Amino acid sequence: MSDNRIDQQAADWVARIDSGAATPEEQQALDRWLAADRRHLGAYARASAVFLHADRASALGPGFELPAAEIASAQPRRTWLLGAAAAAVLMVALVFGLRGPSPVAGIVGDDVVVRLQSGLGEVRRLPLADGSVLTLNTDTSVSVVLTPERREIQLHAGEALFDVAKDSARPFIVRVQDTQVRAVGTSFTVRRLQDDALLVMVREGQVQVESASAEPVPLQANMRARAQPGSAVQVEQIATESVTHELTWREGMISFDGDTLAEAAAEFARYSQRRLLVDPAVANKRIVGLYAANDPEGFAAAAALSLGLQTRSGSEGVHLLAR
Amino acid sequence: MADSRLERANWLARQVLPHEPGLRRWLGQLSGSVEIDDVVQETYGVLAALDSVSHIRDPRSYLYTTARSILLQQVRRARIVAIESMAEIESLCIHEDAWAADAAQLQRQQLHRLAEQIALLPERCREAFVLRKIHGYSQREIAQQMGIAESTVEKHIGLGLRLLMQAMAEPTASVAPGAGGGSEQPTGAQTTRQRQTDP
Repeated sequence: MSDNRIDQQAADWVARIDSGAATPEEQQALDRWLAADRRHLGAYARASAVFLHADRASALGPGFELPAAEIASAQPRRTWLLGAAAAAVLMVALVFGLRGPSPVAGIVGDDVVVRLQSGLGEVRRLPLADGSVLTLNTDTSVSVVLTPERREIQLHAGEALFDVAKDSARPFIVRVQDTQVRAVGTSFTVRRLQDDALLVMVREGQVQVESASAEPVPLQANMRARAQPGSAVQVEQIATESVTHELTWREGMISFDGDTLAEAAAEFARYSQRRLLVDPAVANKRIVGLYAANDPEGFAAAAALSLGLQTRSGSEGVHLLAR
Repeated sequence: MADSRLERANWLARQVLPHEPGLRRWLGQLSGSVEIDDVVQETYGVLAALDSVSHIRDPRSYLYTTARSILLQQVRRARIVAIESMAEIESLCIHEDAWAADAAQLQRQQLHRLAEQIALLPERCREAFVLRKIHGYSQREIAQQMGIAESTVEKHIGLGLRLLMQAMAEPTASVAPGAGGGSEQPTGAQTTRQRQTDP
């Protein structure tokens, strides 16, 4: 059937792009193929959607531990004598051990703590043994403790998305100093700001922000809260689209929706050593769009073009100023 | 500013994909030879080509409306058409159905189907697919782990994806769509309800 052939071509293109090895010529060939027939575009869009949808299977937990479970059972039996807590973390270690440098682990009290980090400009997606998935944004550091009773993440710096596998017997808690965000099965981000304030955004489900000094504050999907040591938690409702925008960092992108150039510069500074330096005279001009997080130069060029500015490259970064 | 391709794919995955089985059942009600796969492909094509989707408040009815207009275009293109076909398509109703409204529920169901479908993939293909999508390794890392060429990993991923797309297009329950005919309510309604109450 003709539609099957188109589906196969579309799936092959998605796999090609996903390999990260597509050449510019192949990119162009893809663009030509997409432009040739609306059904090509449709099949490709659908293939991309199904491919993204497949990411969510990780939320199902045990059924999807297949490779990890196989690796675990291939280990000597004594693994299991270490006790369930250690075994759970070992499982994490096994999962992570496969990809390059293994995480730093240590013992605190009775718990095995696994330390995970991402570098500047790096985004890491890290499935945990319980089926939850952590996605670390740039320059982020967390410690993970998984035991049969609890799942605890300490956010030391940066920002992370938590796609939490449902397990009502084991609350999932993200701690930042004495504030904690508690979830059962949900998807949310926590970001620790420079001034130790905390931004929590809920994509799905419900979480609760708890601190020593105030009543717990429940948050639903599409809500964002700012918690600051010593002051009340501020909650705002945001659009689903904004939540999606806020999460473009997972793809190495930054999204702006009417942000000022000054705000954009601050955002780029999170991802790259290379600074974007905005002249105060144009700092309040606003910009819209999706940009590669590691390419302040590319952003500057695009902004200059659309706002009628000029760029100048210097040793400390790229300047954006009036023409 | 137009959304990026990836952003759109994300939107499709979250807002449209859960409604695809329903859409297929709905299209299946039509008598005559409707190429459902073609209509679905073209519908995704239209949604992918939109400049922005931020104005779409109800993705489900937008999806159905788009599919209906594509059907009508196809019928007009065919020129010789039984007059009933036009009337039949026009009369397909897209009202808010309580049974289909719960997108979260649909997504959960689809997730479980997805789990089954991944489990059913051919062995090496499944292994590559799970390492990529569940464990988040890159294709290059998977090639190293499985001891195969990167191009082979890419083929496994492409095949796995195509099989999942195909599985998603298959009917979710044993109904003969449109067999009863004449019913105002989509045939799928019953099935969906049954599936939802199943343990």
